[in-house]
Amino acid sequence: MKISIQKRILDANDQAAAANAAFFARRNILCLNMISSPGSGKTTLLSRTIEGLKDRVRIGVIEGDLKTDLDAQRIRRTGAPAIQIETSGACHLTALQVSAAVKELPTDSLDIIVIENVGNLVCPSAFELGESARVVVLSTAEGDDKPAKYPGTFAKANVVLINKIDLLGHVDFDVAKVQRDARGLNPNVKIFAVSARTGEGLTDWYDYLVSLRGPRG
Amino acid sequence: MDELEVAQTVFETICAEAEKVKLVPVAATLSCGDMCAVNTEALLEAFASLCEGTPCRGMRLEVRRIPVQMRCIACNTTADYNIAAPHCVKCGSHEFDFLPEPPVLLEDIEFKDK
Repeated sequence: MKISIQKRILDANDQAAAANAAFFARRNILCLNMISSPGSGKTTLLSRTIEGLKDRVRIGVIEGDLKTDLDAQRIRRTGAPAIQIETSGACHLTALQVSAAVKELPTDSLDIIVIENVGNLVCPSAFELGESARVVVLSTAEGDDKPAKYPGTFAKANVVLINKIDLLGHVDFDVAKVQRDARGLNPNVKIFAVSARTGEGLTDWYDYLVSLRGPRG
Repeated sequence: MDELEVAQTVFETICAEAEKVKLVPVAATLSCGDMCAVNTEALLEAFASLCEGTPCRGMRLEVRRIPVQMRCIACNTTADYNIAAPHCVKCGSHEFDFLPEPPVLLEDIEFKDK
């Protein structure tokens, strides 16, 4: 005897993600889910973005790491509120973890919430968190083959930030190849080549982020 | 992805359904989008180890990968997304949107008849 079940296995996460998305929409908050390998420069990029946009938008951050609150400390030094989630070994954040963390943020005074996911190019892509957009950060030191090797992650990205372009010339990395491969997977993806260290290319990223957020409520 | 987490939910669902019908499960079908970060081998290994020593021991779990669908912006054709040739199968346009990815879904369970 065969019986039909039709049970969504990630249903609990999907429901929590939908609730998060509804919460962000009610408060007119843009929520970004930032995904990358460890060491791509997410936190530096985020710190620089907060400082660069401090007169235009108010940003809060949820940090995900296996251990320590080092990244949340770095973000707080910019003056922005940051909540650290320690996953104790889990390789991705879940929507329920995010909904608990959001309660600790001063959401009445925020325009954007950035969720810096656990450093991992695989698992975070499978878990919706209620974000408005996904930002994948790829640094030049990692190599230009990542869109081809991790197509699921890049196909679902709304934005790809190619970071550490100040290292071009010291590493074998073809920016045009990454742009071509990422757009081949997803023609609508926005791509910015930036250096969080020198600031190169960040103005376009800032302007795009502000345009994505829309006018302050 | 955390395949053990997926396997655990599948296993618990099968056990609950088996309890309801008072029958022994012999097979089940799970489907997911083909870009979903579920590794089939790791999932099957995790599932088999959860089944050890339970009435589910030895049952088959079939994992079906479902192509993600894309919709051409130019001609509105909907088709399977082919990662090796990401363009419209009808007009050749490279401008397309993704349709929502199929969820990780436990489709059915087969039980041994009494």
